[in-house]
Amino acid sequence: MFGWIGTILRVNLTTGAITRESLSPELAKEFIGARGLGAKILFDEVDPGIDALSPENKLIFAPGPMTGTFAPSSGRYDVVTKSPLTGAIAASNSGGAFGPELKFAGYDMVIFEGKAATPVYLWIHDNQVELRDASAIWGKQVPETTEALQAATHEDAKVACIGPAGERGVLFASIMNEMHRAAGRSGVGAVMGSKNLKAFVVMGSGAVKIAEPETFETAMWKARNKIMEHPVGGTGLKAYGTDVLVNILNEIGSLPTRNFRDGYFPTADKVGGETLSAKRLVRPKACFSCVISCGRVSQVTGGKFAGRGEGPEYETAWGFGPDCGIDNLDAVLKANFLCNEYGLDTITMASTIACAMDLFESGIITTEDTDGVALTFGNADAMVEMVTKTALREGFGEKLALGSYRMADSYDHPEFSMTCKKQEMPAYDPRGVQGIGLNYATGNRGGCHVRGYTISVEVLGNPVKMDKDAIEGKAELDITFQNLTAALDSTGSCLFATFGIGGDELAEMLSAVTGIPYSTEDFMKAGERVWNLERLWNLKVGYTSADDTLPERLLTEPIKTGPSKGKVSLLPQMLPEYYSLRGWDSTGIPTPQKLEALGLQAEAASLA
Amino acid sequence: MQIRFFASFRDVVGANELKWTRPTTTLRVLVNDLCAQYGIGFSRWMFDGDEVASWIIILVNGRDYRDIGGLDITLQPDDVVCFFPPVAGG
Repeated sequence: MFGWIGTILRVNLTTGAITRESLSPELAKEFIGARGLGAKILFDEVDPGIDALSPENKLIFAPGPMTGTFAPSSGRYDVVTKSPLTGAIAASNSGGAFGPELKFAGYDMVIFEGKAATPVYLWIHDNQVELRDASAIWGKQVPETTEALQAATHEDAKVACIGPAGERGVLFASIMNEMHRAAGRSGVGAVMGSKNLKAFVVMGSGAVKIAEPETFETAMWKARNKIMEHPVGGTGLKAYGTDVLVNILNEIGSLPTRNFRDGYFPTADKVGGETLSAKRLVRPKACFSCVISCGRVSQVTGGKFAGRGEGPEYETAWGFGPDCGIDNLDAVLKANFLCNEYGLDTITMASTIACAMDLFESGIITTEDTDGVALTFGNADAMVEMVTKTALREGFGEKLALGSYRMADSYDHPEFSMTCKKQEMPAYDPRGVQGIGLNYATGNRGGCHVRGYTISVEVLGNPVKMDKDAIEGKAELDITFQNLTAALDSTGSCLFATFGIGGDELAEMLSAVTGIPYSTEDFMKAGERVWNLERLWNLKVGYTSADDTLPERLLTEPIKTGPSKGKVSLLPQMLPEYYSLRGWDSTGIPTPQKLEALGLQAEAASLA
Repeated sequence: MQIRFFASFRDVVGANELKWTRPTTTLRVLVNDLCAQYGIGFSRWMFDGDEVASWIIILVNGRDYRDIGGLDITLQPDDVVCFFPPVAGG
């Protein structure tokens, strides 16, 4: 095979058995790889009704066919599993160089099954594969774990691991690779911890075979140049990182503030990308084969929030900043660094603290619940303290470790949780940007912006501009972006590549890499296939159209201040059109005709 | 009129925001006046050919100019106008 290696590794942690299987060329063609192929394996092999933290769940690491090539920004891998946070399908992808290294070692996918009796890590060095004792590093944070495992294996080995949060089953624990890159969302780190799998270490000496090298080289340089020549991909993201969005979203009045109580934060600039670059940025950083370099190495040199690490991304700066009513950049950075060190998803962590602050300010919880801490909006010290409490499940951290929905529900006020399908929404208020609300509500992994980033069109005007407040055309926009992103994720490419290129360039490169002629239509159809498969999985879990919604606050309580004052989400007016254009019935179930057109007849039969 | 600048525009202008008192009828006039005042450092990102580039975000009172009538909209003395160079995120 070209692009794909052709090999799947299966690791049974219960028995210790390690087996190799051939990758089906038919499945590879239809589901591409990474997110798509991972979803197919999960659908076929895992009962949706299981407990996500039981040995019956599987944890799938999968790069894509373009991972490890010189296609621009193509160094990603996905972790696919049943999410303990949502119960839905989880597919969290991460950059860095771990995904390419796994391809160089000779694998398209590694499937972890069962549960080890004691802590272990997997060490892959090309054909040499072994499970090793991890007892000595259990309990250690991500940086210590990474350094210890590189010392034990090879200094150039790539390490993906969990921190104390994953070990303790925090429902939104992340998997961190190369210390700072996160497969962050949906609690994939908790699943890893439930299997007593502390880390996955890999080193490879091979390469990815390209079917049509000359054609690929031409297509690859065309795509690279398009990204580099585009002012956003070429200069904007490198200079300021994604955190530059803070001021844009604030100036349009759609920066969720104090747990979505409002959409405007007067001092947001203090945590924005401009301030970060001027005061705390050490240097930009790129992932494998990336021409953008949106990553941030940052440092706080003194004071109680001193530290060094990577980040923050926009979502993180928003979450620990305006969503908690905080404009202290150093506190934001400290919370970000702690999340990376403990292995926590920054979006859910921040939003859960914001929810707790909202409960506290509303008098629903008191200092008796919060270990004596006055958990008020704007209390930066309390915010940072709660991150550590959560990771270690100490005191009130035991509640926070459940995520905002279960925490708020335990106090009989689930409406305070700003979640879709129990996963926290990110940093764009759906009341001020209509299309992104439809994307949150229909997202297969719950509240998420990177499943259909309509902000690009509704706010940034890239590649075209649509009115953020209009609902006309938003269902079609969401579907197009969701399908494109599903296909792109499945290749192993980064979403940010689409700031310069689109389906045409991606299909052209994928064709040259694999030798399979994907038209743009084929490529988009593969994305639609993946989206519908994920939907079927969630239906089997028990989700229904009633779950394709937003928190009541966003549907009925208008934004109070700022440029979007008075607006609410118009989701109910968009959802029926979305179902119709998807080829789903009025209850959100894909029709037999749609599933047949996508080649998902067998999967549809399993739904009956 | 209050004008706010973001990202690299702040370096070009030398300020995060300023009060604009020169008589300004439309957004097009304001854009041209700013380009004249701050030179190539400002105008290089602003235009794609003869048109304002699609990647430039200009907000008038929080609304993207493209959603409220384009460059020929009339500006008022108490308007807040924001200029963002090509940036993105996610």
